[in-house]
Amino acid sequence: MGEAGIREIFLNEAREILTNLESEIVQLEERAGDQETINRVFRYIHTLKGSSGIAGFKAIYDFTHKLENLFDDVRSGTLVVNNKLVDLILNSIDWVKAAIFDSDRDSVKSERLLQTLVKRIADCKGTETVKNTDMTPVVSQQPQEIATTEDGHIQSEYKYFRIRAYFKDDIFETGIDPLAIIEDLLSLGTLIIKGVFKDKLPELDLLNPEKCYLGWDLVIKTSKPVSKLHDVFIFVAEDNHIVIEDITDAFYEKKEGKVYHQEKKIGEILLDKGIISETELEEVVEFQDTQRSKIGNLLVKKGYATENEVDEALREQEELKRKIEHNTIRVDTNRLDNLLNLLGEIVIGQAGLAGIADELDDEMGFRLKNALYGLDRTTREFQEQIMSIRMIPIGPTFEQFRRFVRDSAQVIGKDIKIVIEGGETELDKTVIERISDPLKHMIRNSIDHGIETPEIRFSAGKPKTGTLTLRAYHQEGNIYIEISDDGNGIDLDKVRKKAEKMGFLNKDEDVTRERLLQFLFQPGFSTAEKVGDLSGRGVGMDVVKTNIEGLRGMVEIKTEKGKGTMMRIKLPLTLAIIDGMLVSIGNYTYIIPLLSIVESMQPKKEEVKTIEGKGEVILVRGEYVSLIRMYELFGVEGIHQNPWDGLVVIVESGNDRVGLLIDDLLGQQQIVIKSLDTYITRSRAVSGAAILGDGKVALIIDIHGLIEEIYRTIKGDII
Amino acid sequence: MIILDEDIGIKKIKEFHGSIRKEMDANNEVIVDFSKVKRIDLSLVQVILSAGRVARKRGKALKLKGVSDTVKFQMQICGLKT
Repeated sequence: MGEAGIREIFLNEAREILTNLESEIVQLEERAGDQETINRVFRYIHTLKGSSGIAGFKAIYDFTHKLENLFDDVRSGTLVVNNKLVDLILNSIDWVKAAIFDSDRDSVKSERLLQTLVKRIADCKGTETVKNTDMTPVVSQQPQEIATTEDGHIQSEYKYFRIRAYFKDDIFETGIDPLAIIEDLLSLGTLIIKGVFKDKLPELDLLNPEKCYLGWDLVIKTSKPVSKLHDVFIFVAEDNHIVIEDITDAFYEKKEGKVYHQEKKIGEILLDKGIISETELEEVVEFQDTQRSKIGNLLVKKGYATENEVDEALREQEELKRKIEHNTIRVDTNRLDNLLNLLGEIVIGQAGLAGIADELDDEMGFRLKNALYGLDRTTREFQEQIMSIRMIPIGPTFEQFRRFVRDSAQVIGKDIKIVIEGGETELDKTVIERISDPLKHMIRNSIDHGIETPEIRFSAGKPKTGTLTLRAYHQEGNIYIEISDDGNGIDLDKVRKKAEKMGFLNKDEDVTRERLLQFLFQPGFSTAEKVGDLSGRGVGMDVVKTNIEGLRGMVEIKTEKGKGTMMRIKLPLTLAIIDGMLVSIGNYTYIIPLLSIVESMQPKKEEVKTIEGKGEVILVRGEYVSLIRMYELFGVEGIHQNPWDGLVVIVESGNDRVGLLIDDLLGQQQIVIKSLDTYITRSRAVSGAAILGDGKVALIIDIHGLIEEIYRTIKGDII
Repeated sequence: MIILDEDIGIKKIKEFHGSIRKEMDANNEVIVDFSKVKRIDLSLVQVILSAGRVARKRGKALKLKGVSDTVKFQMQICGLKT
């Protein structure tokens, strides 16, 4: 591989490492003594140093070497993780980022900043050699020597032992305390996995307090010979069940990410660590089946594990997922886009052949259609495979907000914790690239207007630290992203007053809660009394909505006064290909996304009415639905002017349903979406276009945009 | 509230077991004061663990007061969350 290739690999790696490092360091600030996080941070800095050296980024190599030395002090417990240290490392990350990726940076300023950082590192090393007292007591404070193999992997000189110790129930009679033995054992090394067996422990009323019921299954890392471990059990080895096993090979491979074949569930991780017992796990699993709640939440609710323990287990689970061995190659994303475009051409070609099949005689047409049916299955599978390659987890995007939340909260004197759920949820890479800015804006709103200051929260009986949750999940062919906070909620009275003032609402006009909240997406709409550094200028939420709708998504807000706000984004799985229904209006063909169609019907004359304030409606099973004459909307000459002569397609978007008057249904097919120039897409009723089998172009109707457009233009109303 | 003696251990565990059972039956909140205790043994941890389970089942609270770092560490070894 040439030098350019090595640099390219480094640039890709560095971006990933720096994002992870930033996220981990912010988390470390929340849990200063967490040894696992400390080790991960160290490994990231170490890898960054090594890779930058290989790729020829000498300045970065030298700087990260200093940073690594500094963090080694944290790892060995001689330097305390505090706000000052976290700031220093975050500033260092900023410098490294700029040095690698920002070719336009001011080199004089950059050099000056580097010197300041180097001095701060030296000061930190020189003055803060205070023994860390916040470390969790379970982990011993022995410094760990880490060596690096030729391939860059971290190699430990320590050994890993698994110790299983089950004591006789009458051991107390001999004057021996098993707890003291286990304490002696732990003094020989670092506890890696703790399993405590409490299953035999009876109910309090049935408990014989002079009998021993507990047992241990532990893994420790130690530099001591195995004989030292046996010495600890010298007086009990004969009569009790004590097994000591050297598992260095297996454990080393596992720990350093060489081989992982299966993912672990949260319950299993907590069980392995001895935080919960099998009985407790079984109990919550059974309960989970009836409650459909997350196992971690149930364990916390039942008091079997703390929130911190569940969070740590979740992080371990993520780490495990990352380390599952894959045979991967890096592919330029442009090549994937090209592949998808080519597939689009195949789909168009297929539609053309289907058209020819219709023109052939029965037998030939049937044979061709049969062959096309088989081809269609293959192309659909082909499409799914390409789409799956384009799918990437949203986790890294979420993670990058940890720093943003920390810094923003600090600026305005708030204390905010960020919780990330469903980071493994995969989205099309284009969606991920385009969702980041809207997400940031919504997060900023939650920080600035949603979550209160610690003082206000305290006086309202809430924890001083506010929680901002980012959650992603799949449901019914869509992806949902939720941004929720436990802040003060949105004051609907204020929203109403502002809407009235801006002329969106008449005084005393009836309006639903959902509709009222939609006003927040109007340009210039803000109920904030003060314009903050972060938000409150009324600029942004309209852009957020437009951006999300540009991704064929929707955004809704739910809020409860005093309890918080949740903004939910609904997005399609893919942006490139959809299943569409081809319909004709006059001489033109249009496409309605199949997912939006509820039914099609031909109403009777008496079912079509005009209601004041609602316009033309049709009666569909006892419910009036607005009727939209599509030929009028698109300014074309339709064949049927009367709904009872043509066809009405009932479509829905969110809670709104409308009927679209068309001339005919032409059939359904896969549609490759092509974007349109802005002069056409100014109409929100159209989301793109597609090339049909016969080479003609058809517009794709955006149902959500169309409903909004109709409310705005025909009714003079805004939803 | 139960105040533990400095030398709480296997010799006094029966007495403590009896006291905590009575307290658990009589009160919704039981406090065990560890202020005088420097070290504990497994017999005490077992009683606390079992009492904690009973408290959870009955919707009561078992609170441990004045637990030193050493005792906290010993409890953690036994899988007791404090």
